[in-house]
Amino acid sequence: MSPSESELRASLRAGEGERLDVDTVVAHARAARRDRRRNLAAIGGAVVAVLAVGGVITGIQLSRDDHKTTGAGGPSSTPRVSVSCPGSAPVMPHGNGTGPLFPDDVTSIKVCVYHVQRLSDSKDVTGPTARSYAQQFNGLPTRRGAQVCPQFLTQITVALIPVTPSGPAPTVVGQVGGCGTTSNGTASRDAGQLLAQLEIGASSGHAPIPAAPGHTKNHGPGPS
Amino acid sequence: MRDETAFREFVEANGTTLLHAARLLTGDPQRAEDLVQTALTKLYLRWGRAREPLAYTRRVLVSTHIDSSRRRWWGERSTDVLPEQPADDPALVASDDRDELRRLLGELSPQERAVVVLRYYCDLTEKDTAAALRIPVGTVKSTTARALTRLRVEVLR
Repeated sequence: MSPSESELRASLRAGEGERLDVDTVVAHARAARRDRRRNLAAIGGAVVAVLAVGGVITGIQLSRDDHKTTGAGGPSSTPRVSVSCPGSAPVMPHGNGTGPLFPDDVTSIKVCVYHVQRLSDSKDVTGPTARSYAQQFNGLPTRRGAQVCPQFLTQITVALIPVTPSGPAPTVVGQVGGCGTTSNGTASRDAGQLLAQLEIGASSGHAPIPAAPGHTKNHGPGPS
Repeated sequence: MRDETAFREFVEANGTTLLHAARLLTGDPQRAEDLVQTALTKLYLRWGRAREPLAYTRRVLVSTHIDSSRRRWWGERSTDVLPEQPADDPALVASDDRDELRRLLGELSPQERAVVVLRYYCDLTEKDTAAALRIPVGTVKSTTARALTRLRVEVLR
């Protein structure tokens, strides 16, 4: 005969009555909680350690990058020019002094070329090339008295921003064509040839001027 | 733990029932104790957040048992030959319907056994059984019917 539902219940209840040791249960549960906290602490510690190591590595790399950027270093170092060209041609400053156009400790020159007041090209001249250009500009004879310049204006303006270890120096502005009058506001020179060399990006006695990043436009043979 | 006294009282009040339910589920006293310990430890860690501690513990009990019964490549494996054979003691041989029911209960699948234990030992409704096992009520009904057929139990309607 098949058992009934009540017999099934009775069968399932048979043998019931053994009690649990509460202290043992609580002790095991406490141990589990302790283990879980320890594991969480270990995971948290590992995450913090990884972040700390990553931070240190990033800091070292940033420090190295800063050193490369700011360190004028030895004679072969070529510091990165961090100045940018104005959007429109700066006003030609007037100065009749006999002082130098460029500071002696120039490390780079930002060359900004403007066609009809609008920025058309820019280049960075760095290291020995920059110092050579600065010396050539400073070595030009100062204008004495009234001098008649041919009216051969090309409407090309070149702004030269000298960069020294202490920062940018006063901008030197020159007009290509005519006498090539160039001034930094305190002194002026007639530097038509040097301006033309810088404007076309090549010189017979110097290495070609490297183009600044982001400017790939090539110039023709020079002002017409 | 903030309210360990309340947890102790809960274990005092329900530990016996839970342990017996675990025995019915596993058919093994040692595994039953481990199962209850696991369930109560999970409850201990959630104490104060579990809204219905007994229902939560039952749910953990059956789900842990069903999970552990699934065959895993790293888990226990059945063998053709039993490592230990019981002695032929007449006192240990099942002779009445009660022992026969227990034996048949051990032949049910883990889910069928869980349904039978929750419905006929813990006296849960079909709805509560479905909630504890996280299965539809219809599945509880069909599983119950199948299990009772295998247990050869006459269900009184």
